[in-house]
Amino acid sequence: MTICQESIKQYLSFYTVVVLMALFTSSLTAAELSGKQPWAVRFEIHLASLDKMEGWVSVPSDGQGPIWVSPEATLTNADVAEAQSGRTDDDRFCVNLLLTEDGALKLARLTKSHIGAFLVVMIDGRAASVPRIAAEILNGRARVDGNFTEEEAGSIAKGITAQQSPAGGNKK
Amino acid sequence: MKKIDENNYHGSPDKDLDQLLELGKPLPRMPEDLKARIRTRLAEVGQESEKKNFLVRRWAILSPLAAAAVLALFLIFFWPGGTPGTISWADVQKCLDQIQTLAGRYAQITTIEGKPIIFRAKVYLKDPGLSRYEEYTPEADLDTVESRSKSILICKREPGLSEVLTLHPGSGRAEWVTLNGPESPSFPKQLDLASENWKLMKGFTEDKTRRIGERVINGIPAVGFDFETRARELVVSTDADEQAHGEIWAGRDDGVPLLIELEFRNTLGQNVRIQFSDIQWNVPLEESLFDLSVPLDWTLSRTRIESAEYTDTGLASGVTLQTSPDGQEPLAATGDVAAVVWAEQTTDPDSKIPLMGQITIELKPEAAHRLHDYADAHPDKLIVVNFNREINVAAKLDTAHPTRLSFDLSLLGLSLAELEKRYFTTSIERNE
Repeated sequence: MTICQESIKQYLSFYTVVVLMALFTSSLTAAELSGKQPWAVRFEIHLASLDKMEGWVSVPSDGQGPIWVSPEATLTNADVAEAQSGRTDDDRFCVNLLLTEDGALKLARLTKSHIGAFLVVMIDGRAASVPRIAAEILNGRARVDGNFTEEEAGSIAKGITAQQSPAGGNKK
Repeated sequence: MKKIDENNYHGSPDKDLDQLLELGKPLPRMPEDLKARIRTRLAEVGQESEKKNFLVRRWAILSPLAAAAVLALFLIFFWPGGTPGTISWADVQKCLDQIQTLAGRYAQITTIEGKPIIFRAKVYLKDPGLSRYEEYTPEADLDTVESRSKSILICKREPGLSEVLTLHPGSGRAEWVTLNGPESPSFPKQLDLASENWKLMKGFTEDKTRRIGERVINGIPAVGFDFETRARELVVSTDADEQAHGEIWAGRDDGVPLLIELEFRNTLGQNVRIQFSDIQWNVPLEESLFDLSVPLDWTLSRTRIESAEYTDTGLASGVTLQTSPDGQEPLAATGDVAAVVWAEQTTDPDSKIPLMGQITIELKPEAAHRLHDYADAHPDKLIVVNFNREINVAAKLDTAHPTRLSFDLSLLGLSLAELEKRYFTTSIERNE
């Protein structure tokens, strides 16, 4: 029955999930948002819109028309305390994030004031997913869905918190 | 048996009889005079209790046609308008006394950006405390045994201990969650989901139902009732205050619910349609359906949830707490904390991420009032807890319990036992 099924699903969702539904993923690079950075894998969360927004950057997406991305990242690698690959309820690979104290408050502010709006999760300048904010996220956790393979999810999780060495290797 | 379009059945007894007799092929067709006699006889017995006796006698005499005649009588007996008696909502409410099991099919369609997102499952509930949910892809044919479920969730609950096993047959992976201690206040307290669902069905409509018509569902004539209520009264996972529309279809003969349909808008304004169909009450459900064992070659991840509901517990001496609108002066301070009432911590031996360490405190009413006033006036502004000058975390006001406030302390990296020891006055002993 409705109530029980919903409850169980909710009960098991330890992560307050950013993603209500990843509407689409993008394989194209948002060059405008790219730049030099010290992380092995660059992670950013921006506000996004399906409608054109003045001053925002257009990012093409697969078959869904462009998405418009706020030029300022709300969250970056520096806001992530821990990252680990995991699985979604529907058995896809994802990256689970535990944010720092500052990161958690930033995400809480953003989600509380933008329920119903879209976010874009950028991995190395590419739009990994475009989730919609379903509810305020107050516990400093987020999940990145992006149709990843197990290896990709593992590499991204490792790279988000790993500093890039001058020689190009990774070090924690 | 002839398949009946349960939504659009507009036949007639004569036509049905003709069609049913066709089903007798390759047996010889029934002579027209015999058909006429049956029709006459059916008409004669139409309003009498002798219908079933007639059915039995014919069974013996006309065995090749017995099945057809049975169905014909069935249709006539239950033909909409053909029987003077009909049930009321009160009949539905009192039709089942003792519920042991409930099974059925669940479908939820959420329309997002014009696209339907479909969730389908078979549901099995067995009291006390057992439940099983098999999720299927939208394309899966649930009528075939071969149809493999995307995931299977088996839940076993008893006071103080709950176990939830999720199996993912496609990837050979399983997740096992155990909960020790009382369950979260937001989680339904009820352990006996079959009987509780029945109470819910009866209760949420109360006297708000309105009879909307009749139809045949899975060959069973049914009477429909509709009702309006708030979405959040029906579905735990939504806070939507929107009006929800629901229909319950119950067997016209016995008043037993057969089909439930709900429609509402969620907090994002998306349309949600839910259907619980093929409802079966008190059918035998094998214990094996609720077996919590995991195949040996599967990958298993385990999660442990530990919780505590405190009585007479407060913040330890010297521990401070300030609750403020983001960047503003505090609206509640240490002296406004009446008690620490709840804690819950989730651990996963396979993960380095502490999953959750949520604390719930009870505030004095005047402090809670100040916070709610602010939150109501500034719904998009954050309220922040400074806990013991160690950490700033976002606070969640509990609308169901207005004097309660929750926040997550998992970033402190302490076990529940350590949190209790350092910050609370509780005397609970735990293994650290």
